[in-house]
Amino acid sequence: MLKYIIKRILQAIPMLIAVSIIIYALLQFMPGDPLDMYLENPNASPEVIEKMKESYGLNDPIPVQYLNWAKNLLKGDWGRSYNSRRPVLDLLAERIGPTLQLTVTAFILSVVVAIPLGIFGAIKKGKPFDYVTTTLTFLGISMPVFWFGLMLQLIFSVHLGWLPTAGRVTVGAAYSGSFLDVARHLVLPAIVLSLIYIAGWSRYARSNFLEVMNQDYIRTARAKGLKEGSVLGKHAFRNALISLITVITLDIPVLFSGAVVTEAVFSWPGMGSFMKDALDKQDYPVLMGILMINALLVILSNLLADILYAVFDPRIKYD
Amino acid sequence: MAEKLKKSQAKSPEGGAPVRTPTQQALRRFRKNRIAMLGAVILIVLVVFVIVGPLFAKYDPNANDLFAILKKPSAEHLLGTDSMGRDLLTRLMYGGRISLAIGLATSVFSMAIGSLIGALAGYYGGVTDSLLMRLTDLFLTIPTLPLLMVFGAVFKPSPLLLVVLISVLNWTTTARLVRSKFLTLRTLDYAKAAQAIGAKNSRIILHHLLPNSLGAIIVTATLTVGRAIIMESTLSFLGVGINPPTASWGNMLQSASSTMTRAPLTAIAPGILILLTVLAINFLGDGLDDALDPKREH
Repeated sequence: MLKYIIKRILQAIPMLIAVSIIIYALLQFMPGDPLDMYLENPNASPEVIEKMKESYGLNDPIPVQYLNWAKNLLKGDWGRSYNSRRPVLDLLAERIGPTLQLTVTAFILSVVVAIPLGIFGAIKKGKPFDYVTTTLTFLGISMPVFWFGLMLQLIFSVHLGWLPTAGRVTVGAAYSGSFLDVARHLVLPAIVLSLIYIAGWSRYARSNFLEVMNQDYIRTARAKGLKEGSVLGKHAFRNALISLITVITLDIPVLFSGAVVTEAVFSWPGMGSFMKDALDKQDYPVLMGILMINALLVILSNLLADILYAVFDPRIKYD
Repeated sequence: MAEKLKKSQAKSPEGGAPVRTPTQQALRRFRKNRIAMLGAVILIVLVVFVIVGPLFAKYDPNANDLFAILKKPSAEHLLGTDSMGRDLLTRLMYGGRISLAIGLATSVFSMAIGSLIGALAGYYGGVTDSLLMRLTDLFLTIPTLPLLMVFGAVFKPSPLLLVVLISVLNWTTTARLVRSKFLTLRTLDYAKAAQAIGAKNSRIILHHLLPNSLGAIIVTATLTVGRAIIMESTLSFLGVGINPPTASWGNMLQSASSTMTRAPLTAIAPGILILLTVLAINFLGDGLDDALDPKREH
């Protein structure tokens, strides 16, 4: 097992290098130069600009620039924002908190709702409960996430006035930023972000559970007189869980990158608005940092999915 | 053709049910599927709405009317107007053209890329296969949405460029699907027979293996149309997709959060149309999946 895990980690490294090269190369094609803003500045003579270019390493061949960038990346130096001049990693660390708060809440909500929904749908196949959940999941995967957010805002904030429309804290109130205050702001964004995962994972859980229920070992368990509860809970559930864990783990990076959209709807002050700023100002070091974090997350979750699969499915033998 | 027709109407030797070609069987299964038929009907209505509708529209979709901003629905403006005084219904029809066209074109493009790569990998195997599959893995690792946002913000893409960008980042599922189909199909007797009589590789791929993978490709293509429509609307909502004043269902929602308190329809209507379209497409795709798989007859 340990050997397999180490092998998988070693396989992930070339992938990470390849992705970083692609992202680096793509951003090289982007128009605009970090020093463009000085061209209009009368105090910056061409000589000064040339000197700055030299000091930024912008005159080196692109492969050399990439190697320098990658070397610094490993040392924890992710470059400086063109805009604020502050280290990219510090800026990312500041903005990732609210995004993690939102994504982790949505993740837990999705898992806790989707799995029971899918399993009960499978057990009650063809009954009203199954029809209702199947219809709802179809609706869930068929609408844009941001529009679902707009509709919830319209109903629960504008018309009913139950929950705040946007932001993470109530501005200017004494209780601003308290746990309850943040929780109230978190309700709608978390529901919105979890919608497609609740829909997708419960559909998957349902079909997976149905498939498991047709297996011989379930028939065996019933034939030897086990109670239905223990057939479903012990034998079926645990077997259905294996591939469900893989699917859920592989979706984590999409959940994280998709949070940008939900954050935009609810003005949630996380990576989304950070990225929007960077896009408006063509702040490439920051954008590169965001893309790298996302790519890193994809590779890590692939790795995690494989490892979890190996841990949870004892039938699979690895050399 | 005539021969084919005769054959299809012929009775089986025992005088029982008529013999049906696989296509006819699939059509029969599809027609029996009420949900899928509902999807097809909704889609036809929507297509008529966006193609024929504008012929009857009396407003220019992009003409501002500053005296008619955020008007409530009336005989004049059936669904009211938006923040620039443009007729909402007219813009929905024109915007639908863009959204549907982008969905369809993205599906066609990404199917073409995915099928080509999947077919080559599955048919030739060996080094070709492992190289192409590593490439697929690599594309799966690229964070799609953030990268599309960067492209959209920097290049302000035309609709066509947007289609190309979305397709180039979304062919991996198709490639894997077609590859696995080809891996099975190429070991079957008819593929071996074609090889034995000296048919060219291109002929075996195009005339034997591809038609037999078509069912799976059609289902994925259908579902991709829906996903692409949602992707377009998301990018446009974030301001990095279809650029105004050209209407798309997505960018009509761009300023919805500020207008929906006064004119809720500006936020509701475009989303309902996206929802209806994608829902119909998903129903259709689900029905096609059942219909095109001969093993699901019972």
